[in-house]
Amino acid sequence: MKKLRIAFYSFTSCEGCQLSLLECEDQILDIVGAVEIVRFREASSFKGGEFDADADVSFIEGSISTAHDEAALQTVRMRSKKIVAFGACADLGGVNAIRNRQDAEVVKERVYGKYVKWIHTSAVRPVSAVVHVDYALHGCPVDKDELARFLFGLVAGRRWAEPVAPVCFECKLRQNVCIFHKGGTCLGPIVRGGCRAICPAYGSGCDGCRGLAPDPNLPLMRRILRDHGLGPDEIGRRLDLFNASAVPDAMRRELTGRA
Amino acid sequence: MRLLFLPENHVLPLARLLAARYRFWGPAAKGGAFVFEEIADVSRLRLDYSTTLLPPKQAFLPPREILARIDIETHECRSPARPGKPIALFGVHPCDLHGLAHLDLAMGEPPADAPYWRARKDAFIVGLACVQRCMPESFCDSVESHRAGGPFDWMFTPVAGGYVVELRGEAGEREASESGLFEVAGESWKKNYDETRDRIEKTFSGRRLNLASLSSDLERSFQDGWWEKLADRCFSCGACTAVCPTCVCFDVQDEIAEGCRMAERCRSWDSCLIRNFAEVAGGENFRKLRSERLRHRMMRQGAYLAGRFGLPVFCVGCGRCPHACLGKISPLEAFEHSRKFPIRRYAQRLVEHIKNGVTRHE
Amino acid sequence: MSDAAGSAVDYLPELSTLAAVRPLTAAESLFHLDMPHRALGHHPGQFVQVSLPGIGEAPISIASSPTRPAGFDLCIRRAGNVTEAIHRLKPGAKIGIRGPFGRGVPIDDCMGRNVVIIAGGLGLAPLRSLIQYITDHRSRFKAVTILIGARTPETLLFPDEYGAWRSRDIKVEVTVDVSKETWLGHVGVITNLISRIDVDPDTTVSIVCGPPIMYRFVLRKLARRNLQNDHIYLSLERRMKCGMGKCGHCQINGLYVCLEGPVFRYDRIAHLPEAL
Repeated sequence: MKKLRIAFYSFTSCEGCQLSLLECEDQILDIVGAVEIVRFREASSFKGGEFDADADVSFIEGSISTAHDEAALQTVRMRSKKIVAFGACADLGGVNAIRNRQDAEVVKERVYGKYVKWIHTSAVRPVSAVVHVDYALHGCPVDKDELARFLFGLVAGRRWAEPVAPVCFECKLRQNVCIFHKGGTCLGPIVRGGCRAICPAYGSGCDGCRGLAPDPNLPLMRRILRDHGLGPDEIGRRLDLFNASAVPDAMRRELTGRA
Repeated sequence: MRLLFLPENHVLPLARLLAARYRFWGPAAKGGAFVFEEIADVSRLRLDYSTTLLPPKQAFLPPREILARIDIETHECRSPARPGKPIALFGVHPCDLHGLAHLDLAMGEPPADAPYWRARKDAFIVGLACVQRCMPESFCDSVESHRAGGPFDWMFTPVAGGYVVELRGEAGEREASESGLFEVAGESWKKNYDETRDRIEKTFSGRRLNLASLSSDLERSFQDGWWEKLADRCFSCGACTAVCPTCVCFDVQDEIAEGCRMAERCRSWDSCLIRNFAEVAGGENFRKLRSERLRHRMMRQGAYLAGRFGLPVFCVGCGRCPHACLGKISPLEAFEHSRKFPIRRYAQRLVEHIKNGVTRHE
Repeated sequence: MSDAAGSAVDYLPELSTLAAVRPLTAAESLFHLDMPHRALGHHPGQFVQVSLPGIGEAPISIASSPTRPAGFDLCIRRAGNVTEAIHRLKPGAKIGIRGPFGRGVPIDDCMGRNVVIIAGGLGLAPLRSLIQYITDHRSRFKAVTILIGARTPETLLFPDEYGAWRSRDIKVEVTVDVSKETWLGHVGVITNLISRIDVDPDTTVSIVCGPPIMYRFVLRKLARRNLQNDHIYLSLERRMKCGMGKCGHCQINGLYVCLEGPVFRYDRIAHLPEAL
């Protein structure tokens, strides 16, 4: 049987999501037995062109923030049967999108200083804002077991089922003490699960790296965060960490309580 | 009913004896709370626990378990064998004992669930009476699950210097006599025992529900607009069902294992609160609204399963779900509210409903 | 407890072999399966859980009558992972089967009576089991009428079998929602057909299966023809996952469709707000 050809491409990101494939330590041999990896710059000595492979499934890591990114992504889309938005930056815009809510020139100046005139960047966009996306693997970084299940599912011929339950549900299964009960705050009730509540398990409230769960109760979340001392600005900043550009304005208003 | 006495300093030796013969589960501390889990080192046992984050249900119905292992090439399949030793649950509070009784009903209704009963069979269950309320949200007294009940082999009641232990059944007698750690309960212990039991009755004397009419009250309130109001406080996150000692709903998914040679058909806890719970392959979702899903859960606990198994209520009042719920929704609140939905309005709605079935689209 | 432990049932699929595939429409095909070691032993209206390892399980109603020897038919629409994967299979492939599950059509209540079968879309698949049963025991039933509705002529199921049904003294009426000029039959919703047939309320039972939206309209029409609720049977679709009344997915109020259904007598569910 012909092996599934998969490729990994990276745009504006820390390249940490790619690492999760390498972290599938005990499953990696099964994975490479089942798929052929045709591009994976971070982990291969391949010296050819970067975006010129035909692939069954291409994993796109990172957000799109330059004209070069955009053109390269278009090429990848044309050469790939399926595109996976791979991790929070590709899926939501992620951390990079924070700068969309700030003055672009000021931000560039602060980051690049005297080299600013050489830098040509646009607003940060998720992959789906540029090309059609077939699947999304959520998270910052993506969950390695979820990645392995995703890959095996593809090989078996099964369509990927997005996790629907919010983080809260998995947090209970993991027998974590609720972050709110410990005096903290958490977005777990409105954020898409699948991460097995890893942050609450280590004592940190959810910041929403997997995006909002379907049909979130935002007014209730606002009331609870307010009761725990978070005002509109603080809620906005909390949301912006991963979802600065990922949540429609109307929903953002509902959550922060600010127009 | 046979009563024996177990001195306080015999508890750990007894636990060690059981741990040698059973897979030993008990309450232990975790991060400022308690969990009911399999414990290798019995000195971690905390019989002074309040309540546990998850109920002992997971001993018999784990959050995730393999139902079948299937060879992808040959389709040959088998159910995974359970580890040899049966399970002992040590120190189960009355609410959770009742919870186990409810689980037994749900998983025992024909056709009975084989994976559950493989774990449940020959389990040795040690109950532990509650002498004080574990948390403000609990309402075990309102659903009458604060007393010993359900499938225990031993029931421990704390008295000065140890526990008075009620033995039940052949396994309870056998394990007690083989341990050699129990003493005959003397008159003074019995008096002490009666006093403790009186104290328990006084502590748990808040009856806030009319159990006789609960299920019919709830079913009547089905069309009440109040459910939508209640759903404003619901995330539909499923935390309530995850911590529930009587919820059994699960999902079944295939996973690929062993280098794509085997498929594992796994079941994992699911929740009727999760948005796609009642969605079919064609896309129709039979409980689209958050309020419909929230109502369904309350109805299951207070009416549907109760009616199915001839009980007044299927909730044991452990208080875990209102404690876990950030919107502070309690079944007690829903159950109490259902009485307020007047019969007259109900009758009117029912007639409308049945007529609607055949006339609404006239 | 020991009783439950002793008679408990596992979730293990039995092997069946895909003997033949017959494409029916763009989305549906008819799969004929053989069980090597036993007859399926089902009643018309019951369902099985079909599965492929690594893909999963899906509930599918049985589309052939137990009176037909050797194997059984499943009419499967491409709608999810399992059904799509089954559509990719070739004859000879193995398919896992659990079941049959649920309560089917109470044949005894139909015998000696006029039977009106009302099928919308894929609803004809489970009803074909009953129809075949009737054709195989035609003398046990009085007048039999089948009303079939589909979106278009192209999505009609089993049109090549209507002739055989008619030849067994069964009236078959067909309507489509939308048609091209080549279609000579009825156009319009299935309820229109109900006005066109004879219904003697005392001696008629009706069995209905179709998409969720259809039931209310059909029930209204049957009520107008004075058919009592206890003479009407509905086959309802829900998400049956375990088939054993455990997993909770198929629940309608307090009923489990996989145990008490999928075929319900209407008067027994009319008061349930979640049923229709």
